[in-house]
Amino acid sequence: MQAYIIRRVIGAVFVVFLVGTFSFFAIRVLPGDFATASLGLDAGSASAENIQQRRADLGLDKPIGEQYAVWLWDTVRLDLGDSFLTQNTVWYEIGRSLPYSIELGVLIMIVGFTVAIPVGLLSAIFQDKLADYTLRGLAILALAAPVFWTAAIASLVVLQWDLFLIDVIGQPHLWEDPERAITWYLIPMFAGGFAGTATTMRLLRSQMLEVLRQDYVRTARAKGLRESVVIIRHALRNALLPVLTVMGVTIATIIGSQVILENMFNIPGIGNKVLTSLFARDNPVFQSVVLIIAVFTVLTNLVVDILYGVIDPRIRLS
Amino acid sequence: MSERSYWQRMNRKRMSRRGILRASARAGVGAAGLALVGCGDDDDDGQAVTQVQQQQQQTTSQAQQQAMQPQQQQAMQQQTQQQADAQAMQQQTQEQTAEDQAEQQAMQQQAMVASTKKYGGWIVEQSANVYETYDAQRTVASPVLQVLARVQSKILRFANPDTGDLVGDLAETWELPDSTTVVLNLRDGVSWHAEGPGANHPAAAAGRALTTEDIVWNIDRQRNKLLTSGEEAGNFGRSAYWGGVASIDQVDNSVSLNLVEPDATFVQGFANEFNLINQPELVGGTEDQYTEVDASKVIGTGPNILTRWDPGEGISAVQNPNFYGLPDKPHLDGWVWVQTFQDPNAYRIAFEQKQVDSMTDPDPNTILAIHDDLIDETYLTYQGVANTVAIFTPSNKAPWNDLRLTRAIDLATNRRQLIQQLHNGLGKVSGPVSWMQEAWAIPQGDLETTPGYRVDKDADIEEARALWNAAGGPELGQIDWVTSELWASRAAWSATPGIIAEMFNQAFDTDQFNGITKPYLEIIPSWIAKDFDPFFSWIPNIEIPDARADMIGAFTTGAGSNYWDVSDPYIDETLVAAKQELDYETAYQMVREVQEYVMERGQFGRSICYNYIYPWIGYNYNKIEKKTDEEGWNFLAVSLQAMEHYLDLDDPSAATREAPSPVPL
Repeated sequence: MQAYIIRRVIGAVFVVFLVGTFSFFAIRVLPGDFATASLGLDAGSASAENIQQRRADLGLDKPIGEQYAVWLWDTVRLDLGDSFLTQNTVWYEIGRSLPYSIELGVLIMIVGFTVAIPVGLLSAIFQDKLADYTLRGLAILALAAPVFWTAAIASLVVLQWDLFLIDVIGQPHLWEDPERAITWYLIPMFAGGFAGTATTMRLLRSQMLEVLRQDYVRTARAKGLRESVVIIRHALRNALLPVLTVMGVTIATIIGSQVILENMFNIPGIGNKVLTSLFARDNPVFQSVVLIIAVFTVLTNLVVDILYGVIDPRIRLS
Repeated sequence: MSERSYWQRMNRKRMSRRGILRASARAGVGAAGLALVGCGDDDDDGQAVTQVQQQQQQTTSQAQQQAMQPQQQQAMQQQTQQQADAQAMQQQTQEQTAEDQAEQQAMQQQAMVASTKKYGGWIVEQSANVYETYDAQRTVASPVLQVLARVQSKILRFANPDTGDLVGDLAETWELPDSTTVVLNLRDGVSWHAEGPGANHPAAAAGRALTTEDIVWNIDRQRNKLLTSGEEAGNFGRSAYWGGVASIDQVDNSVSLNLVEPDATFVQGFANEFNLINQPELVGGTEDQYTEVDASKVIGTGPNILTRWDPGEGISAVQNPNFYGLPDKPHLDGWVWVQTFQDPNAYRIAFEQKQVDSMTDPDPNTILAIHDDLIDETYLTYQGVANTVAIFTPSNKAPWNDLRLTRAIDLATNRRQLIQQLHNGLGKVSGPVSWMQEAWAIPQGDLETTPGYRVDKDADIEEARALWNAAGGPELGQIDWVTSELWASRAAWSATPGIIAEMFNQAFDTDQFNGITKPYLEIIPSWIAKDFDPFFSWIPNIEIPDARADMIGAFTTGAGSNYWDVSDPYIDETLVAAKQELDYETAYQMVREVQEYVMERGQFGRSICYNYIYPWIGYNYNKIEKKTDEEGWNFLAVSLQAMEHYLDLDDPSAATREAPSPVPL
């Protein structure tokens, strides 16, 4: 088991290194840099000398190899540098953004799993009945509808009937102003939750159908156990095991949808930072935020892999 | 928008000489304003104003006056004065034309608007996300002005930024005793902000009175391009303008500028939005951190004090309790700017739920749709973008130094088609002088029959093709036409390289043209080095309404922006004479003739195409001075807005608006 974990950790570090390297070069391949982005439409009015001076101030005039070496060494020492845009340290920017992303991410997962599990369960129990068809139809819709589309439609509905305040300016945390925070998060958490629901629900349904046909379920029923006990204690627990394996993928999907949702609802989280720093060519923030997302995703998958290894000995033996 | 009426209005926007006379009189600039236009006398105006004002004041009941707040009383008095001013001027100019009368009516309407102005409240707007610096003198990026123009003052400011009407700011009056001297008489009682983060900075001289030394320091700094450390800095954006000052004298509370040569355009430059006056102690003391933007490095003498400036997070400014314009102006208690919305959905939510008071979007359809939805609560305004769009051909080198080719390209450029394809039709063609500099531009109606701008594009194409073939265009092989990556990076404009190439391929019935993109960092240095490939892009920002300096910069021998090496004695003589001409009609005629001369030569490769406009939407309670219901200011008008912007929270549209949370002093 120890060797398995070490192997997985080494793999995870390599993945993070690759993602970091990719993000470093990706933002430099894009047209423009912070020196020109900060001038916006007025870039044509600036003298070349002015722009060159700005690039030199930011260290963007150095050879790309040198920039990469400096970035790599600083990152290893956990020195992520300062934001070009705000002049704050990148760690400060991440510290300010991370709580928002965690709040939204947790809410999305709560919605996702609280919807996916009962729906998958009901769909399996009522296989080929109207409820099954309806729920499967909804799951396919959730899979097919892009998260931004669902969120945009929901926003328009709220605006049309003025249902509640979406506080895109105040940006309250849940612990500061729960009422305002929850109405602000409401649409993104449901849009993100539903998008993440479909895969889990469909997987759970197929697993449940398989488990419900197993001998031990038939035995449990023959013993005269209540149907609810059979379903929840015997069938669901076993059907949930494969769901755990896709949890890592689901979380990666949620993070992806968070980038979109945070921007759509002006949530100043990590996803918002990705786009803001990308548009502003704020290299230190972009590279670091992508790295943080990679670390989080890889860690989640690592934990899932290790847990699965613990649960299923065949995995760690192989 | 009613396109017909919009275009018609633009066609008659050229400012009349009487317009300048009245503007000068209205601004109370006295001898200086009159010197600019060559004649006139404002004594009669002043007398008439006083008489009418006295009559008006007698008819106002004392009870009404008592019921009013001091600021409202002041506003009412000023309104009465404005009305009287307008009436007196109307009597004085009985022989004026119908156009002039219409302008007078508009002025009276403006005076009536003033009577409804209210005081108090906070405006919430979206801010830019990125600010290059907090020092407006060391940048060309205009977003910084959104903040600073409300916090700092200029020597003069525009009463009407489109026509160039001036009023005093830090200089209460100004004089032109001879053709090379400008005397600025500073306003008494002006002091630097005494409170706020900037005032609390250790380097700041909080609450100190403004002195003539402050003005001299600001001018010297820019014309010499020197920092306090003695180091030379190449990023003073207006150094060429201030380089026109040969020497400076100080007498009592006046500053006398001796110009290198006569320049009728110079005074207008004082009101350039970038020419904000910094405090020497604070800005001089923080010059090594000039890109580190925050409120503690900003102090001014303007109507607002900055209380927060965190780029990407938020900005807040409150009314300056010691502002010299009080109790009349400003009207607002302050401003709150929220971070840029990366997504239109967030911006739309913020606007529709009245968390911000106005909205604009790169996609005009978004704004038009919201306006349609909220037609009873909102109004729409169109504003011009001062970054003129142009086609650049390197006529300074072979093969493009054959002016037949340059002329062919100019004729083949389908400006109206580009406006349709790239800007949803929201734009207007511009001659060598942009339509935004409307007092100097060739009117739209005249351009409709001018080669290169003709509505009948087939005639242009026919002529272009003949010139192209005659000059051996087909033998040039593949021609890569560059579009800047910054331009093409916008989703709505991403197809531009292909559109440009296709436009020329169709015009010349060829497939030689190929659209490519290059970064600005490659284009701009090559352009300045006069070794550039043909490209399509913006040209530098227009900063003042007077077009003469821009024309001189682009077309006279050896001028700073003459990247095409144009050297033509006729242009040199005419433009230099126009720059020194104080009579507007004569100067306009000179500039017009040069424009026509230039256009007959394919604009020498500097083929101005158009300026686009964008829609802006605001709630009815959010009141901004504007020309008509549908036209905003062409130029940067932040200083004007700082003074004239107000909120009418009694308007029904304000019913569900929640008061914002500014950062207090």
